[in-house]
Amino acid sequence: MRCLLCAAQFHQTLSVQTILKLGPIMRPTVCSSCLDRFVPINHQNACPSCQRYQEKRTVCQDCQFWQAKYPGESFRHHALFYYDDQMQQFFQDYKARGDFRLATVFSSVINDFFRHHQFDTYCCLPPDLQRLANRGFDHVKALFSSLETLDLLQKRQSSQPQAQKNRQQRLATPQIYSFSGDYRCLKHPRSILLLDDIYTTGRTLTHARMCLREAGFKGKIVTFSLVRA
Amino acid sequence: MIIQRQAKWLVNRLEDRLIFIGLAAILTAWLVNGQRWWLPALLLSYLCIRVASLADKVVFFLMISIIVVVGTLAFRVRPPRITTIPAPINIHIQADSIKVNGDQLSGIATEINSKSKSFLVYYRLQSPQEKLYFQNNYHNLNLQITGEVTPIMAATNRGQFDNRNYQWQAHRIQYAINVSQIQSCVYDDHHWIDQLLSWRQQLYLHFMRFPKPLNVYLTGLIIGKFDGDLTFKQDMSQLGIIHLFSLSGLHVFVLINGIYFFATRLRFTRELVERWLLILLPLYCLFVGAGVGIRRAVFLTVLNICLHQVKWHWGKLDKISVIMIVLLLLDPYLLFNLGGQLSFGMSLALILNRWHSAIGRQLNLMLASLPLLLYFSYSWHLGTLILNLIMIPLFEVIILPIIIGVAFLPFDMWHIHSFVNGGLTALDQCLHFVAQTRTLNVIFGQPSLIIVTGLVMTAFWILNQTQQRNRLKGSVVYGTLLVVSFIMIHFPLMGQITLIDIGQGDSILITTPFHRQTVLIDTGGKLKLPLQSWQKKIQQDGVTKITLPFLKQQGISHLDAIVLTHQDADHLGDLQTLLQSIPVVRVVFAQGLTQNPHFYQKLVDPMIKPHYFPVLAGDQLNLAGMRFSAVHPFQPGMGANEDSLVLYTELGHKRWLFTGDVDQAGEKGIITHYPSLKVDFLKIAHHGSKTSSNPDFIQQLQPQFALISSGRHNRYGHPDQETLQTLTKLRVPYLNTQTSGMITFRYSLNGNYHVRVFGVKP
Repeated sequence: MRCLLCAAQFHQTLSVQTILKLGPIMRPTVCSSCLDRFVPINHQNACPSCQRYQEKRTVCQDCQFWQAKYPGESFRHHALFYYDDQMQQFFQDYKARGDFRLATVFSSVINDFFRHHQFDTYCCLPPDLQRLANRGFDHVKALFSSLETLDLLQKRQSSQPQAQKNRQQRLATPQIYSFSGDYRCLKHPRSILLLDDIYTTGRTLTHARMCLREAGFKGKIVTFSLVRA
Repeated sequence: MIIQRQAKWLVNRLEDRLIFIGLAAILTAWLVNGQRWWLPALLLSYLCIRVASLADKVVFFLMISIIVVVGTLAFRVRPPRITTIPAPINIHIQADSIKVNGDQLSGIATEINSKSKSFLVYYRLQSPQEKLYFQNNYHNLNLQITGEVTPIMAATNRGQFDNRNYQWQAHRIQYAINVSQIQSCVYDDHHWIDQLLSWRQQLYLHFMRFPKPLNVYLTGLIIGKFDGDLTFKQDMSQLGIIHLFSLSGLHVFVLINGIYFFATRLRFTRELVERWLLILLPLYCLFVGAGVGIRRAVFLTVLNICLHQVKWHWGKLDKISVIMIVLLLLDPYLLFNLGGQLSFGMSLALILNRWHSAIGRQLNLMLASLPLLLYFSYSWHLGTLILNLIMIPLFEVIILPIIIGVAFLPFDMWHIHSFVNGGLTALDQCLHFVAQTRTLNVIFGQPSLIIVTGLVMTAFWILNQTQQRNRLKGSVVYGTLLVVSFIMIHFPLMGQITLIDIGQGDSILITTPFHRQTVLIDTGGKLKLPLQSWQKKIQQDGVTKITLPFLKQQGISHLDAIVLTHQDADHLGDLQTLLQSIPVVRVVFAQGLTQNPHFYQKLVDPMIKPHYFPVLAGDQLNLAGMRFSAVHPFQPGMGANEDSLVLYTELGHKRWLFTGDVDQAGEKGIITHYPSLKVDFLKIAHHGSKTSSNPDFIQQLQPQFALISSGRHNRYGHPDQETLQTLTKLRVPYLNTQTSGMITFRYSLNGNYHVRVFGVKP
């Protein structure tokens, strides 16, 4: 096996559990030393609500801001990695240059997470159609390809991607999502997990959350991103 | 080019999936030729489901084809029906298989006309000159012989070494020829393999001229022929370090690494060394006898070199799986012995091991090997773990290089030899002392195959865990299985009365249920014929070969009592060995026996002095919770047949009479003294001789069942037809160890009995 990130040969020694348990075996696409270089989130030093890095384990200012703005909501966010140079390089290659193979880099970590955390419905945040056409693939959906996701949302055409705005501009962005799914999908599930790649200010995920509320969903909404900036 | 690309595609497709195919090969070989077919069948069907769930057609297809191929190969090498070989015939004896022990010559031979069939050859040497000739011979021999062809005897007792099984699995041999006359004898080293074997024997004879124990180390570590004396071998296998003394995979890896090290120091290129190794290693493998470990090491090195040449990279798990598959295709019986299982099991354990500390790793290896050791050798030495930790580096770093150095020294540098020899002697004495410390040696007994499988799987699960909590969980399961198995063996629900098939002689074991108490009636033994010194063989007696392994297999570590009926060699000949090897609390015998000087000699110098109980008829004995009444002899004698001690007892609501060798007069005496005596089970006196078993005696006792203990082809013609006719006339069914092997009666406290014979397969 050849690592997608450093191109070195590496081997996987199956564990006894994988040998004996039923089910397919994934072949890792990155070597363990490359994977170890990404910094996982340490829950001792993170905001319990949005996983932002800080010394104390108290709810951070951002979350207090969102709470004040939407008092009826309970904000709960999961994330796996911090955003650092290594991760920036990864997203550069994956999102900007469009290396589709890199979608599998984190699949084992993501699978491990969802083995312990399960929700009724999973929904990816969609890209707008123009960028989808440019890139050729839905980068969020590709990251979470092992989950069964429902297309509930649609993104309006926007002039500028979030990544190119500053913090104030981001927070000032008006609602960009509209509900495009089947309303019957919102009747049964008790919890929906919203999936995105990066969580920076929480604006997009909160828009998506409110979009679902406006569509009439009453249950629990939890959000997840691979990276917490 | 296309082929290379397709091979590459297949290899990429199979990467880290080969372990499934390897496991399938192992389970198939076990299924076709092993015991308890349902266990491998169950595991194999699970494996099929598991591989199907991979949703990979290539892997599934390959697994099914391996199952079919290994299955057919394994099925084909099943022992066929025995056919006879005409005599006189021409045979070809392998040079390195020739062994001379006392006046016995043995070896492995092939019939010249049909090269494929091989068999064991035994010959009684006629003169010291002949012995000297064969002792110094290092050629392959072509002999024309007359003799008798017999199938190799299977084990007839539980726990006994099964030579028939061993010879078949190790050498595909099922006959032995007892040569009566050698008509002609010529050298034949023409074939290149023969030449190799001849060199091997030559080197062996050369090494044997070195002082002891240096010669044992030389032959063991350099040409893979471990020829230590019997106590040494026993000590080392008890300590669990016997694999260090004979060339094994471990040593071969050290050798190969040494070659690489020195070759690079001497500025040879790696490619050159690899090319030479590729040619020389297979020859070396043949030269040192191709044990499983050596085969594994040589194949792995060859595979590594090949992979290096084509610049492919494989994981360790894939490599060992490929070696497993290839070696199993070559020899489906590869994993049916302890050596093969340990060799592959331990390397697999090392690959899967995720504990990083050296002690943790060694502990894991011990957990994985313990169930196998218990299954094959019934006991476990507490020092094994520490000894392996010390001895493995000692052998690899110090002893092996020294031994190789000594081997290449000229023969006249005796002071170096004697210096090395002194060191090795000291080491051997230390090891002997540790091995003989009884308190360190746990007699466990033979756990059942299911428990062994469970233990091995749990051990692999434990060594693969990274989280402390999971390791702890696994250890609890492992411990529970071990304790449950120990309790099942040591606190059985059933008692037993077992007639041990000790050959011509008596030896009967009685145990009680629950808190097990043990009584052994007679030890068996052989009449020693006067021999000249060159004829004397080094061999184990019946107690060491049969009784002690049986007791160990049952988890019996001490005897509460031994009953000696009288002083004939076939009843207490091996008493001394028994007293030296196992603690005995009481020894019971008929009064007057101590007056006999022959008997008294046997009691000299046992390690633990038991209590002696001389008894006479009318005495009540409470032996280890069992009540025995002596009904014979009526007055003290010298321990002849007519003075035999006869015991009556009740076990599980059934009445038993153990008669020793009492004669007809004694039997009549018993029925006149005890006119109301009735029994359910009767041990027929004197191996079924007509001097015993008076019809009136048997008629009065009205036994439901009779038991005879006599040897195969014994010189006295026991049991006599007359005795058997008496039994038939009185409608008493009987069993004889001569034809049934070991006979076991199991009983529970409520009087349920069932009988099981160990069986002599035709």
